[in-house]
Amino acid sequence: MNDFGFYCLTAALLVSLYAFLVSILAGKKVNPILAQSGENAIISSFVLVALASASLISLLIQSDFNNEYVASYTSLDLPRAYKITAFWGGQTGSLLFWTLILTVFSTIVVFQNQTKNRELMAYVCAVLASVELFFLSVLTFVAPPFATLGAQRPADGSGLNPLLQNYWMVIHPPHLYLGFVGFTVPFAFGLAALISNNLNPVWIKTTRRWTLVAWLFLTAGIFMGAHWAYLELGWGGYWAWDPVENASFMPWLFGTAFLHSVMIQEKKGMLKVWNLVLIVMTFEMCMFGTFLTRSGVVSSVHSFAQSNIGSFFVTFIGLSLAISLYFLFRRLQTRQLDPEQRLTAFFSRESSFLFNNLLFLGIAFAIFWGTVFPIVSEAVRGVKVSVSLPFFNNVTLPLAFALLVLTGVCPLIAWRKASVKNFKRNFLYPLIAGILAIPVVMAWGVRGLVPVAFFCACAFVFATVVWEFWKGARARQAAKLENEQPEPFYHAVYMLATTNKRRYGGFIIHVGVVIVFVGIIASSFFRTEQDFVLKPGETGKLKSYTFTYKSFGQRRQENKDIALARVDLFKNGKKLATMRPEKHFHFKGEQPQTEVDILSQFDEDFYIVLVGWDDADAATFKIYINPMVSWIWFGGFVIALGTLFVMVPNRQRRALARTMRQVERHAA
Amino acid sequence: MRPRFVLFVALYLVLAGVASTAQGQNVTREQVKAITSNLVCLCGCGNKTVSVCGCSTADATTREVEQMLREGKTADQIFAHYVNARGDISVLAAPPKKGFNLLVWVLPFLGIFVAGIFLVAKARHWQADTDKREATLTAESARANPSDSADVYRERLTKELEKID
Repeated sequence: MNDFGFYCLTAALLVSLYAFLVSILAGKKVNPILAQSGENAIISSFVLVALASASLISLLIQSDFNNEYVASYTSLDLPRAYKITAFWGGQTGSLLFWTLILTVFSTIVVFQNQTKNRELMAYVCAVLASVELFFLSVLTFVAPPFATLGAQRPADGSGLNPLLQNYWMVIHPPHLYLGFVGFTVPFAFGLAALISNNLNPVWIKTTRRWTLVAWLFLTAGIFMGAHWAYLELGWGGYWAWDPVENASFMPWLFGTAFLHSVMIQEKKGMLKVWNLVLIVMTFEMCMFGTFLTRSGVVSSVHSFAQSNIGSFFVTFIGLSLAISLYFLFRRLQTRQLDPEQRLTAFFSRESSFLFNNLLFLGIAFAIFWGTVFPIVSEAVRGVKVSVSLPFFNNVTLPLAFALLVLTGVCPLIAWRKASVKNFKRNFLYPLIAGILAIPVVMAWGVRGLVPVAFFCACAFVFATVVWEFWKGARARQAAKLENEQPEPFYHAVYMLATTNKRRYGGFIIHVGVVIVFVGIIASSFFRTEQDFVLKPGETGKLKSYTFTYKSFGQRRQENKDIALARVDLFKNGKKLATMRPEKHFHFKGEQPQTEVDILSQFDEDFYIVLVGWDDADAATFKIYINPMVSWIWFGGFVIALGTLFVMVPNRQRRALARTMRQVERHAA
Repeated sequence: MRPRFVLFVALYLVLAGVASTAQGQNVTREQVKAITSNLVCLCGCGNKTVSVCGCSTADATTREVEQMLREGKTADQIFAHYVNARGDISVLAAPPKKGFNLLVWVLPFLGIFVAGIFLVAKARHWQADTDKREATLTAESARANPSDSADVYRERLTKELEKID
């Protein structure tokens, strides 16, 4: 099975090389037969990579420790589910997983475009094949997943990092990879448009759903990672500005800027160059994130082991960026990327989108700069520095506030040329809501300029969304009244949203963002924490909670020893739950793992950590009361819901798409 | 019971003993956190601060900081202690705001400010271009059809646009 996997991978490398070369030739010669051959090669590479992946998974399940990867990341006592997920638990396996997703997406792109975008597809396949070729080259020559140990084969493997033996860490990497790889598709179309000189905005329309899907998965992956950190790392928080966390956040920021500014190109034919730059940078940031995680240039709890893979990624990033910029500058000179319309007024929605982009990219640059500054400092001056939480919190906080305010202001400004009178009229009610929020939040006990300002900005943004729905539904009702029966308000809202899903789905996403901000500010500024040393039967008190330490015990599972405490939790005299914080001692692990217990409620989380215990049965607990953390996860859910709402076409669009497909098939 | 389990309990007991025998000033949790959230944990986890990293190294460092605060040391003295022990400033969670390290703090805001100025200038330039072009078109239209002033249509158009978003 090991040899079979190796041969499939090697064959995939050769087929990808063929796909790359023949697709370029097809594009240059405008030869449909060569283009079809390139597409067939893309599909073949998917089959081969899938077989190689299946081989590795089979080896993992069988615990074949002759394979170096299997020996490094699994053990005999590892539960089967984690043996399978070890596929993306290590360096080479995760690279193979990435390549598998890329070949799946490439195949889908081929099937989706059998009868459309033919003028672009040869170069699209060339770009996709080039990325496949890079990853397959790394897998073949630098980080082979099918390396064998031969005589050095161990009786048992090293096991999977205990931190990865968690439900959220199982699903978090696949979502991130789906996001990272998903952005390859719009990048491929954008670069193909540049290379082939077909610069009409068809490439943006074609890849809009891909961009949304990639953005959705990346967003979900980031939230899942934060949730995992909250559950597993035992410090009561969810985001520590770890370099690898930053590496996933930066492409998200670029991708979000791209999602916003393509609206301007679609509506006004403006920002063509800027959108191409954005999608190139989004892709490069995805690759940079992968580089950061794997090269070891910055150490992180997420990092794979330091390896020589970094130089390959740097070369690929440099090359792909150089090629993209080369073609961009070539097309700039032909003036084909000139805007169809010019900015009509400084005070317009178009220019507000530009400032929106400025803030997204500004935050991305701040995070990028903070992440790489230790490398820069050591390279330039030979001085080691760290750039951690205090820097990122202080720098991103004011920028995040500005972005939040702009989220509310932008929709109030009209396209083309906003009138001050109209803006004031639209601005008034949300502004009143924002101001009224001040006494309300202060009555709740919120103090401090920063949290009060943020909560007011959240109220303002939420009010703009409500105002937009209200205004639109009332206008619809008024229009209907002239001709037909009066329309109920709820129906008007429903029809308004479903006939303009992009706009109103975007508002739902903004509401999700507001909810997330409320959760982040509340949990960051108003957390309560305290240590308690309790003997069995003793009671502690924190805020309105009392908790009684009941007992301590130990048990053994298949791959670890577990120490656990039972603590009864009460609030206002009423028992809420029995909390069970634990410490896990994995047989193959070095450090004990903290397993916190959390009682999640609408307004706050009761979060308890078993720190330690002594022979006299006294145990030390660290307790956090985290306000509104559940709002963060709920806000993420609302963002996902809003994105799905935008993506699913409404009935009319689906009927139109069906008709178009029938017409194309008939024409073909 | 496994050896690592015993080792963990023993280490915990030592740390707890250190904490309980410490004497001196009263120290609040917030004072300790103000220091530990600005120190990087040296367990090799990356760049997590001591207040965030949940490992035994972070626990030990937290106890040490607590002890030093009880002894009356200031924050600056405690940071200097760890910098001297480490041999470089990488133990600090953020570089001091001076010299070359000022770049890390200043460059993001400077970059946004410069880009913002450029954006404003460019937007105003585009608007001026559009205004000039529209003025030229209006003048040409007025010359061609003096009775049919484009201003009338522009005014109507502006009014209609003001009614919709």
